[in-house]
Amino acid sequence: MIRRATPPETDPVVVDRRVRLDGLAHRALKVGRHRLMVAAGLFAVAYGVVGLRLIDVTLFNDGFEPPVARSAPLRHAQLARRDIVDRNGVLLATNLPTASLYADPKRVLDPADAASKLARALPGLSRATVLEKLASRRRFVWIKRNLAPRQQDAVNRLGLPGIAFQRAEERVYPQGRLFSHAVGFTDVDGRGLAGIEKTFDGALRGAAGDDAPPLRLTLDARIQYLLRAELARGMAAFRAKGAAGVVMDATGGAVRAMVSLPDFDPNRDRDGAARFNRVTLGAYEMGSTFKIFTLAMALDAGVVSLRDGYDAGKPLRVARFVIRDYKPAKGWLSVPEIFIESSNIGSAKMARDVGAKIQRAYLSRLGLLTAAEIELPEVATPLVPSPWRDIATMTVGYGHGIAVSPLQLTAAVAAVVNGGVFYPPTLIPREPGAPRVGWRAISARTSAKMRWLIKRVVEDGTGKKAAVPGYAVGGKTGTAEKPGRGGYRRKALISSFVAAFPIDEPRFVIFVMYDEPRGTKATSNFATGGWTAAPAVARIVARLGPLAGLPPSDAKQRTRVLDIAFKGGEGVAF
Amino acid sequence: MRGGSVVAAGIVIGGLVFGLFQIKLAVQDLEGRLATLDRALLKSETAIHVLRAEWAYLNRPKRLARLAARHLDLAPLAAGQIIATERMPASRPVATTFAALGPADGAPRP
Repeated sequence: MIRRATPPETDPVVVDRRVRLDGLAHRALKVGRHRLMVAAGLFAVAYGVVGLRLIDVTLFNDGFEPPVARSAPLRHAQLARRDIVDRNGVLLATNLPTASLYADPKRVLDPADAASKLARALPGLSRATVLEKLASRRRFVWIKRNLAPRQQDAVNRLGLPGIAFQRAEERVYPQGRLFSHAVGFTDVDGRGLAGIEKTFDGALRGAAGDDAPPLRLTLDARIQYLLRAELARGMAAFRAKGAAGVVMDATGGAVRAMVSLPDFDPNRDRDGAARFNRVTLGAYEMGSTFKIFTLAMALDAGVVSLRDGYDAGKPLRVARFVIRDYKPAKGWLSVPEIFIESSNIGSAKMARDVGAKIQRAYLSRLGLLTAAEIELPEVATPLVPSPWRDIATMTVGYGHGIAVSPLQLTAAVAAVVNGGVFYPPTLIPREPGAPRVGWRAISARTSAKMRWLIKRVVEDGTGKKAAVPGYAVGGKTGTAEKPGRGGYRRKALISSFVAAFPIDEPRFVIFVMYDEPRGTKATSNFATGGWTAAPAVARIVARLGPLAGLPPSDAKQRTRVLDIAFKGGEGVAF
Repeated sequence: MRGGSVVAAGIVIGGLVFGLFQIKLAVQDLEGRLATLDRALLKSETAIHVLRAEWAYLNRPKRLARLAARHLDLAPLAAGQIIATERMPASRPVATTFAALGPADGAPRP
């Protein structure tokens, strides 16, 4: 731009110093000035926009940038698998961080020396195998998985090059053998292989960590313990091959304890026959405990009444079979007597009168003809007669010719005594407020009659040894010969007892079974359910009653019971 | 005036630069502390997790039963030991006056 000089004010003499140009030169100058003006204007606009944008971004920023800077969120201890806890929050399975030892053989300087040092530092590791691994041509070999902190320290002290640790996790079962079959276990890579661990493998693996809620089961460590202790004692005393036990809520189907013996330590040895879960995967001919269902369906369908009876004096011959009684009766037995004295003949006749069709309908509603719907992969399909002939109807009437799992039997008995509603057994607690899913199997009136009848069995029938001072127990014995080659084996028994208590308003249904128990001097060499399983049930009830805070039944008028407080995990039940 | 405003602007800018650096350093410091705390927290969380497992292991019912049998004169509660509060034996009448308390020498009354 050409600057026009202004005349100095101090100078009184006006001198026009402006240069005037005319013609060509004047026009050229004018064009140049205009071009400069346009260019300057464009620049001014451009800088103005940048300036405005700068103000906009710095002062009136539009949320692209948070007004307060935040650091990265706190990382919680991330574990690859969620915990499993019992109903009271007692830890049943958890992941622990460990270190796994690996080597890069190429970087190991002296494999022989390293191998002997490692074998010395880690007992249980053979020098030969380590040497073989270190001498290999691979770039990565596991030396040992899941080292204890002390072992890790010992290896670190060796200061061997080419040997390093990788953070790993190990599934640990603090309760050891107590929950071996129910909880199951995982493989070394944390994949569920059995039990709850397998059923809920996906759910347990997703979203783990200390902020992820654990998987809660209906099982109760205390009940589980006392059931297992009792079964283990009985199994040793009767030199039985195995034992099974279930404690279930009478209403709702929640399984509180589930024990199968022999069991295994999921932290160590997981292979072999002990993995077999007798409670859910074993199907057994239960014998007389089935008479509960025969009588219940006969009463419910109106086939018999409590005043009726049958002639049980003579062995019953059907086709080529003969049905006998363990203790032959004198002759005519009333319906309650047939049940209380556990007459096979009477029950078979009752089942015959009920008929195959009604029998199957009732057994189906009691969940005895299809596999139990428990949250475990190890579930037995019941063995049912096929075809269902008349003779099958009669033998099923007293528990032969049909094999079900202990869990199925327990759930069915729960339905008979709890007012007649069948609840599928479950290991997962209901969501609070969620309705109980069950269906009516028998009427409430029949259920009341059945409660009275199985109470009589303990009061003056085959189940006297299940009586407990202070608690009214009702139950039924079951003794079945195991099938073998060419018929039943007289000395190989499945002896069981199924009980409900308190019988007037059942809270728990308990099932105890011994596989091939042998009589002892204390049992006068009897190995039947009444002599082996019934006393076990009595001892379990004697412990479970106070544990559950149940008032002793000989004082029904008492309205309040001393509170029994338990310290333990959060939200203690009962 | 020109020289004055330049100096003033220089002081303002210098102050801003200094302040900005101070804040930046303080933030770096705090972030370092936060990271340390986070690490410590994570370590504690892991330790708590391990200790919870150990707690569960040491509180196995079997072990507790063994310890109780060895160290305590206690047996599992029996049904007969549970009674209702109404059935509790009535407590002795409570003294309501000073006279009823007897001599003030603190000697226990029979």
